[in-house]
Amino acid sequence: MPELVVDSVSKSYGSIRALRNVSFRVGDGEYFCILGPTGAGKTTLLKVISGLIRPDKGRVIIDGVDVTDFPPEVRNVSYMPQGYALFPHMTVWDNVAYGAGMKGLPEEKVADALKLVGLYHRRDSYPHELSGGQQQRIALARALAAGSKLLLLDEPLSALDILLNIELRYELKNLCRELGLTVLHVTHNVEEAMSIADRMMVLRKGVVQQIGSPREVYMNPANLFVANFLSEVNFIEGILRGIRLGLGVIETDKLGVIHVYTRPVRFWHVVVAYRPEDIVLSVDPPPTDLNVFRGRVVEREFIGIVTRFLVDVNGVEMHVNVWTSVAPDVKVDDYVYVHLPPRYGLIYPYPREGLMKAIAVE
Amino acid sequence: MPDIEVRNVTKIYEERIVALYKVSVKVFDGEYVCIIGPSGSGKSSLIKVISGIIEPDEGEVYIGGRLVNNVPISERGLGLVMQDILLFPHMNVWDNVSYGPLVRGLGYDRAEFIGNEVLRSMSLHLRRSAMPHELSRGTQQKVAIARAVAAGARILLLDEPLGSVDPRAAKTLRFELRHLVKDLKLTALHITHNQEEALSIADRIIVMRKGRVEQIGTPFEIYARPKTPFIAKFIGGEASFLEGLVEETMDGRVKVNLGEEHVLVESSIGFRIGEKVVLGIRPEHVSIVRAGGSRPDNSISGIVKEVNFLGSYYRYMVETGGGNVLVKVPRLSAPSVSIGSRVFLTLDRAYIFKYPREGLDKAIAYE
Repeated sequence: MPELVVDSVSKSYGSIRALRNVSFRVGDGEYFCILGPTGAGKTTLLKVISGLIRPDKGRVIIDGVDVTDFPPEVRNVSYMPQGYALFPHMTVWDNVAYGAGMKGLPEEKVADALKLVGLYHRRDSYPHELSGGQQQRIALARALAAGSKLLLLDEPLSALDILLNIELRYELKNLCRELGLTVLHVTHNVEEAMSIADRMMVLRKGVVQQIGSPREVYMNPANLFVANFLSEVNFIEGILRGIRLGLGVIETDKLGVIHVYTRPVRFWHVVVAYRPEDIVLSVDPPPTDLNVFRGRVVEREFIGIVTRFLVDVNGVEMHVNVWTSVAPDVKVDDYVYVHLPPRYGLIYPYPREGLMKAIAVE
Repeated sequence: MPDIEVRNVTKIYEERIVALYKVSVKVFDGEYVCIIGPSGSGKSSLIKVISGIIEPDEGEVYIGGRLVNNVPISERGLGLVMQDILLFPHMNVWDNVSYGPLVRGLGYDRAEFIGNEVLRSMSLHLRRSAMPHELSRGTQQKVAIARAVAAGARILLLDEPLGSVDPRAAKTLRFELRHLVKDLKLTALHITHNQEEALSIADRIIVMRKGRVEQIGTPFEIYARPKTPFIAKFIGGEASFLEGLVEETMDGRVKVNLGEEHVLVESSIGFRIGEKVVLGIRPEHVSIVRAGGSRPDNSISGIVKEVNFLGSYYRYMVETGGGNVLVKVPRLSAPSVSIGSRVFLTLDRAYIFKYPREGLDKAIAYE
């Protein structure tokens, strides 16, 4: 019954604070993704949990036992490092049997793990004879063979082609669910995390930004960084003049007054965020007067399932994404109506450090 | 006249690895063409044959109408830009870009004129004194392209030029790249494994697989009328495939028996009754409604096995009698179904293919 609690963990390397007071809990059988840009502290966090790094402060509790002072080999945790770290001179079989400095696993366990990932028939091959997807599966088999129920995966799909990544991510999730594993999966790939996480945690510069289901985090980002990290976002700066019947009245520089539903807030200098798929683009005027603008199409980009538009509205460039099958028949330089539905705007206080710094990924 | 023409080129390594097999491709003056395909499909070999880095075993390469099989790389008039950005690290942006014209002996004034023109057209003139390491990878790549253009290349061969650039920056850069090529009336042949990038940037796309050209067409043609099951899956990222037997053929339509159910699909090519076929279905071309109300025409029934929230859309995996079918629906129009729901699926569009000789699994495999 692996349940994991990370309690107030901090870790610094010299002056670099890799983790700052990180706390979260992962339930038994949960698939938990840790999402963040490069340098967020994701790998350090996995190493603290696996026991490869000792935190400066805080505790790691597995199944109710404080393992902070335990060496890695007694924690009963499987760790799959980034880049797989397969031994190039060893066969697939030996890689799985002798992985991670172990003394060798019983044959039965090795065979079972290889069968699970569908590569038992390649047991005598060497890593370089396998495709990228197969190498990924061998690394996974090695982590699984140890038999631990708590699996830590560091960027397990990042080395793969995007299409293989999509295929394998669901396979990975289903396999872990069938085996009843508790999984921590580190990635910088938003779509990957959203596709498979039961819950996810967004990390930035060693600080937890938000924890929740993909839907919770996407629909209610805790701050501007999270909003922008999860997808492209349109930001509109303005002054909140008042709230009438839940509808915030916001004065902006180039768009005039816009209206956005909001809870009562204690700030007036605001940034409103609109996701590109929440903005409505049309040739005919929409059946409302609120937040309707005329704009000129600057770019039209067909990318398959979605068609992206860049529209210039009074000097403000807005990204609008439309499902291709219902995309309006407009070309570059055509004029269109752009509607910002009041209920999809997200309101944030204007950040003290400035918008660009608040959303910067590095 | 095509700027680049490849005729019947074959390249085989070690007498058994077929890198290219009878490949014929034309790229016209001023065109932006992308080559896409999985690893090992032959895309890089093709660009290497065109640039002269490798020699084909058979076939001809023409550039600007001239047969260049025996012309060395440096005299083919091509600008080669690779994923690994190769700038002179000890030279600033200006020196990197003006190096080519100076080496060609154009004199300082002419080099300055060309360098300025190219830097300005790429909005790089404000960074002319910067050293490569001070620039983002995206900007470094712009400088590499500027250098190729300043050196006199009218034809750009780009091998994963945005492959090492941060994905967000790459989305902006691909617009700039296309505009540059169009504004300066260049011709570009651009390799990418990123199908979104190809759909966005290209006038035409060449899809390669296992050393062969699988389809050539505009982005929309490739997306809307895939020639093979592989392309149906490769362009778009995910697709479902159902095997069936032709039961009846009508005017432009085929009735397919999927085992427990039948569907009518449109087809421009003929099929024999009893013939084994594959239906390729894009997840965004399936409508999903909860079973219970009246059953839509031409629908198949199934049970929802997985629901994934992906932000702007939902993804459903539905188990039907004929196999699993993926469905993607924009978030704002998502139906109220959950795991275990009985649903009806209507195929707004489905592609019908002859059953592949190599078997379906092999026909759609990436690796």
